[in-house]
Amino acid sequence: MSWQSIIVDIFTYGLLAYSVLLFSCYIFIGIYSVGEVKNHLYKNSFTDYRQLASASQAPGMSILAPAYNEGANVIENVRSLLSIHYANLEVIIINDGSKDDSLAKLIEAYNLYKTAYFVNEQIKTKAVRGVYKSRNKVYKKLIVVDKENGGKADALNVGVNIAQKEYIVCIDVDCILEQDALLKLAKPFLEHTKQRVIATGGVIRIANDCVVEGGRLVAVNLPKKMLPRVQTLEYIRAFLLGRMAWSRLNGLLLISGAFGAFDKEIVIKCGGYDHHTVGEDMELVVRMRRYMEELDLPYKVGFIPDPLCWTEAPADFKILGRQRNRWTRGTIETLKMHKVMFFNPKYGFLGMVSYPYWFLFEFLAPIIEFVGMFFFIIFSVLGLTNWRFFIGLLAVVFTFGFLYSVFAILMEVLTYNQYKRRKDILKLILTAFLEPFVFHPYVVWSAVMGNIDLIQKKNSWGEMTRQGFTAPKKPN
Amino acid sequence: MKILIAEDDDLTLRTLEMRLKKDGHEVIIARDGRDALVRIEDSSPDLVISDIMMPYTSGLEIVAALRERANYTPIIILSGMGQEDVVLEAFQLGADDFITKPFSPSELSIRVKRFAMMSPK
Amino acid sequence: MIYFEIVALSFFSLAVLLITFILIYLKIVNVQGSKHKKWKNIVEILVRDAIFNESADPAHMHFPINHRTSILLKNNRFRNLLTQELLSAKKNMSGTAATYLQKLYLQLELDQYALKDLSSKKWYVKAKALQDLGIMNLNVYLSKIYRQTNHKNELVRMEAQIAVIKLTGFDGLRFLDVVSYQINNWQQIKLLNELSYLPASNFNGIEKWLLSKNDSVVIFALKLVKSFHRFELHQQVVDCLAHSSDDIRYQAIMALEKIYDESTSSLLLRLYDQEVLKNRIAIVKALQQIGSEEDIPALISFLAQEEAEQKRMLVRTIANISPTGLNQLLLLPESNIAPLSLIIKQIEGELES
Repeated sequence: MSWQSIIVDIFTYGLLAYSVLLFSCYIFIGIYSVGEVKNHLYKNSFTDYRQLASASQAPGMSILAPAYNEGANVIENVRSLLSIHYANLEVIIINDGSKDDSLAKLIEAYNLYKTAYFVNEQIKTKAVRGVYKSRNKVYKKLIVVDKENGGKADALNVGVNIAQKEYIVCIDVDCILEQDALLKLAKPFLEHTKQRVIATGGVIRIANDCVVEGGRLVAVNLPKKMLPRVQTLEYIRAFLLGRMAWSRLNGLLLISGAFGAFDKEIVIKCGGYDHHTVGEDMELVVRMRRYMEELDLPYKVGFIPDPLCWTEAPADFKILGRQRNRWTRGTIETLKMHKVMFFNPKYGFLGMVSYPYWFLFEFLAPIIEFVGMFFFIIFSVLGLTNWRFFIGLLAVVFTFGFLYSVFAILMEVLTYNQYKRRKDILKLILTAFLEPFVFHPYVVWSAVMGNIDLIQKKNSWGEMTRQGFTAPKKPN
Repeated sequence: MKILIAEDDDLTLRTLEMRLKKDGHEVIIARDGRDALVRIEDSSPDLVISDIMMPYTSGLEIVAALRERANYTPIIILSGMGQEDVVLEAFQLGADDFITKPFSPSELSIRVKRFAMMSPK
Repeated sequence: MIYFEIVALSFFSLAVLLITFILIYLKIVNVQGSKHKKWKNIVEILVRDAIFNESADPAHMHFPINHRTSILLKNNRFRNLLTQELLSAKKNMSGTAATYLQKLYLQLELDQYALKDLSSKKWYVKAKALQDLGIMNLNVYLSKIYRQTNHKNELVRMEAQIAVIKLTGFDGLRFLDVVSYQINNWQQIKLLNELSYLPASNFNGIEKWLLSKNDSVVIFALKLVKSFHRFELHQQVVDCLAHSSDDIRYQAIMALEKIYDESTSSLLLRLYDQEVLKNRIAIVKALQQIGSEEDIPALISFLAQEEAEQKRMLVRTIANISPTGLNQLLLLPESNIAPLSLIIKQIEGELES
């Protein structure tokens, strides 16, 4: 038994054990999510959400939409937010020191004037330059805030300071919302009597190549390019399976920054969004959960599997890379900030299951994969590799990944069936097949780079340029 | 009379359309606020019946838009129960009448006849 | 390591199996989709005939059903489609149109299917049946429906409670006497919504419910007092201000805003100091409606509170009660310092617009 073969054995069996553990978790998540989705769909079948739209005791909601250099689109986006079916609503657009003329455009389009508004700085933020409201009674729900540039987290905190309603809904200003999105997001806050619902999230869908007219989704199409299409598959897996399962366990750690609702009182008590991390959306949810755990108050983070919000996914590798790099850094920063919860029974399920899972499988997985590949190459060069073993393991990993994706596609078809055409489903299946070769390695690489960048303390959001939605087909 | 109906619920829209056509009116339909505003410009209806909560633009915007036009066009708003404050706002903006859902098609027919009699034509 | 090969192969075969299933399922759905379109036309005509019927004799109304339709009625999916359309129409219509829709529903014996579903063990089937029977106003099944108002499944309970109100109006609220589970806020919204369709009536029971051991019933009762302006219950609502639950006290304050008398404003002001923040803000907001100039000195004294949101609400209330209130504020020494100065400026702006 040479020391070399011992090392190789530890390495190979370690990798095997990790994979088995990971796959078992995925299997559990896959199966466990099914019951929750089914339950939700049954409830949906006889729920009339519209009753909430006009009810005077419907929970008050403040939509917070930070805007930075959104350009001319901002007017249409604001209009679509203002036309949301909900009576007890205010729409707060936060202009985060845009360098373009979005503010001027808004002032003109909505007949805005600067009010003498007292900003209650419950959370410390960069300076607010002005709070604008409309002279037109039709737009009385609109508030536009102009502030010094401070980043998304800071802009959202300004929104929280200004919001007057009980719940805040954080949204990316160019997200396309479904008609009943707000109603569906609001309902969980009303349904629980024994627990306080502190936040709810919904499903984010990929809007690339969908037909959008005036801020409203008219037709759903599968993205034409490979990269957004793979992300469509990825999102289906993550949202329909992953988050539903975690929500059922009440262990959900993450609500997408693109669309989520929060209990404002708790947000303020926790200190608002943290602008020191690039993963401010995940970090806030973790902090809010931790707050409730520390106070030992029963609470829940809810999740709606219905597609509520459509957003554009990166369509080229460079931008995708930056996004994944940022997500990785955000995850690490969040995990670091709350490391006290790791396997800490004081934090209940959150500390014993959610946090360790995130650490072991979301954070470590790309690193282990990368390191695994690295050692594999070294061992092969040194002639130590058990080829049969590795090819076998690779085959198992590949087929499992494919199976899991196909299962996710099956769930999607059985539930919301957004992509009804047979050739779209076949394309998705093909995408699932190609993903490990075309997409996955790049994502792993970006994650590893994220780790390295964090160690080197890079700290920016990077320029997220957007392609813009496909021009709508002319209706006549 | 030429009547424009703006309503996003399909069944309500079709019922209204059928009822008014039976009464001998010319009916133009719009399924959302934006469409309604466009058609108002195109066809200059004698009366508008609009739901108060619709995609794209609220019924309130339609009321406001109508009052900005040179010719006075009466507007009846449709609302669900419990929307008194919105209805009040609509009246402040210049709406002429309102009907709550669930509604009786025959009652609507009578209300519309009232406007036909008041119309200068 | 032959295990790996077997495992990989089984994963892959399972995947292929699922893919086949997906493709077959899609085919079925698409085929059904086109059938649905044809069926939708038939259903729409049936429903339209019911709504626009010109018959002079509603009591003996009989809708002609052709042979093809009567065969289709045996098909579950067609029946469901028809039922959905009928229910949708019935929800939107009132008057004779609604009566005809009910007659059509009964003529086609759709209520029998709903009754069968009512005894199903599956909660979602039961709940849907309860909803349907309620929408169709079938009083004859009232006792069966009432039995479900305290069912252990929350959604069955909720649908039964709503149905009972649809069928018997305010009398249906007697389930509040006995309900042992909490009624969540969503259900309360739905119940109030349902009650708003009924012609006004001075129904009984609120005094009883205000004393219930079930906190959610007390909260609901307070909302009833508010919605229906039950002035005579003023004292009982005031008694609720001593309840241990923050939420109940909050609802009591909200109710008093609508059924106040001369003593209410000073009463609320006396409670201010002991209250939690949320209720303090509610008290001040209520005083916007029910306060008078005599209350202004007390309100000004509360300005010493540090919390800015309270300050804002206080200034807004004082300014709205009377213009002299605003003047009194401007006389204060703190009125030149932030945050009070900024708050006053904001409220002045609000009053102007």
